[in-house]
Amino acid sequence: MNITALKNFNADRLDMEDLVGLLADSKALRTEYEALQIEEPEYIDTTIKAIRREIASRNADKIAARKRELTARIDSLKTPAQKKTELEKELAALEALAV
Amino acid sequence: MAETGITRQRILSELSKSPHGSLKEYLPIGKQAVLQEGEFFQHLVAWDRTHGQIRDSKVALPIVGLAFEKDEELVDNALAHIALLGPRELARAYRFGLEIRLPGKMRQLRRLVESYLHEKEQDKGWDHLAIQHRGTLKELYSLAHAKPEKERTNVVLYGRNFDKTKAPLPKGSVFEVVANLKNMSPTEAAGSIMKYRIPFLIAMGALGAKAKEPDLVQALIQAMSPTELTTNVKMLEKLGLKTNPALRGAFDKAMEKASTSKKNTLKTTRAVDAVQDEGLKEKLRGLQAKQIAAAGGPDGDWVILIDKSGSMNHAIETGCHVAGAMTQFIKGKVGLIFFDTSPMAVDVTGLSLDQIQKATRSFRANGGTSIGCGLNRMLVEKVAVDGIVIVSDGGDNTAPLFHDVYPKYAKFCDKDVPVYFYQLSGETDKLTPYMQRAGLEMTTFDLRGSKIDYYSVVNTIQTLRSNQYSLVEEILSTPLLTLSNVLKGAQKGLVTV
Repeated sequence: MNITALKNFNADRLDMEDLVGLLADSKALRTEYEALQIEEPEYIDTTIKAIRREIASRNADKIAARKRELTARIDSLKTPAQKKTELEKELAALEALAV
Repeated sequence: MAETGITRQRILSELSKSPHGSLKEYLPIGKQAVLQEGEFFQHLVAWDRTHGQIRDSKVALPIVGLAFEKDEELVDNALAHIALLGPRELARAYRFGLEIRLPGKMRQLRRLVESYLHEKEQDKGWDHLAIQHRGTLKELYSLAHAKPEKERTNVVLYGRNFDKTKAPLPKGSVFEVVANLKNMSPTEAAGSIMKYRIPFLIAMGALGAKAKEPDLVQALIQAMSPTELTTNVKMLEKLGLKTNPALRGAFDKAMEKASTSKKNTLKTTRAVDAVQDEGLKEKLRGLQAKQIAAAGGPDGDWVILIDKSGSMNHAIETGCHVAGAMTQFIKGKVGLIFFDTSPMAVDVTGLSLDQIQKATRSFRANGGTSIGCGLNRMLVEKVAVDGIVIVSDGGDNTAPLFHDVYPKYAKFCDKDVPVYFYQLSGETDKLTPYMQRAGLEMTTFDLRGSKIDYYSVVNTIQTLRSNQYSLVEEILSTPLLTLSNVLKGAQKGLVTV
């Protein structure tokens, strides 16, 4: 385990694999402090929270990216007839709005 | 080898410089190297293909090897490495060959290009290659006086059938998609870019101003190569990389892909300087650390002796650049010792260039020159290192002199610690003759008379080794290639010297 990496935690420098590894390390460290009944240093809790926040945020970003990617891929698979129908619908909606 | 000949260490130090496009700069030393150390040179060509960071050398060295080599097996290696180049580099290599003239070899090179083009035509990935390198492929066909074997190739490149009648782009092909990108909706265009893996630069060109749409930015990120990703971070920053979650997600994914790339460490170094946002800078530094780990660099602990004697202000600046590059590439400790006639030490392990510059900004150049005093301090303090780098003009004029201290230090370390000398302009170099007379090995990187070149410095760092002969051994153990391994359909008789 790299204590220095935990103390100098910098989310921007790490990828998901590093983050998960570091989270596992910090949890193991916390467990060890509890087993030894020693008061755990403050940085462990702070780092665990920060890593969890970062993992959650990156996961959400990843899902958002994937959703957009799938939408785009589906759009590129549309046939000319489907595209035409959509355009006609849009036009009809605009004409309905027109004063 | 004759005493007046060129050493392998010098070949390495000279050829690791970046000529920034001027391939002819490789010629004098390259020719000498081929004539005196032909086999080593060809192994160097093979080693450089997998380990080198400078594209110019990958283009120039095989051509230099082809031009002056006589041994058939070694010529075959040079040709094989030319055949491994991408279209753009192959065109550059061909033009370089034309420029330096390859007596009796130009026909070989022309036939090689012809075989290369015809083999690529049969390849499944030809569409992808042609979409990115259409102009270069046309140029190569013209340079080699060759014609496409397939009619489809002729249509894509020249818009005509073999009978010279005009022909539209093949229906449903990636070429047709690229031509229509600008007429599609942003989501459809993004989907097409991803589906056909349209290269970033081509998609950018085809989309024009539309490329700023978030859907398209995301598709472009996914289409980028690792090098394109790092060189375009600044542009992506402007297009909302930090604020759009989907773009952040796509960027993180692309960064993970780029982290295993060994190709673009130098570009990442430059990209860190170009980007404004601190978070992005850190992301790039993290990426760089991973790329360096993948590429590998010198091991062990190192010391850099930096000359701060009178008028050596440029040595302080260069020394910081060398240190900045070394701290990125070396996993062990890196110490700086600034010297005039007395030494001052700074530990810079793990620091970046800007942090090193901040830590050393109080140093001013003045006083005499005693390169040995820095090493003497290490000896007195019993600090053992695995490599020594000297940044100086070599004007060693005050005791203790480096070549006097070095044998004692080597005895203390119980090994010959390799010495690398970044030679700068200034006073007359006394260090080199002293070392030669004492029979001590030293590798010199000559930086005299030129503005400090960050690319060259970083590239030289990758050639440093804690065992002074290990790099040469590593190079010699890199297998040579044969043309028949690279081009399956290589024409018989292509390699006749």
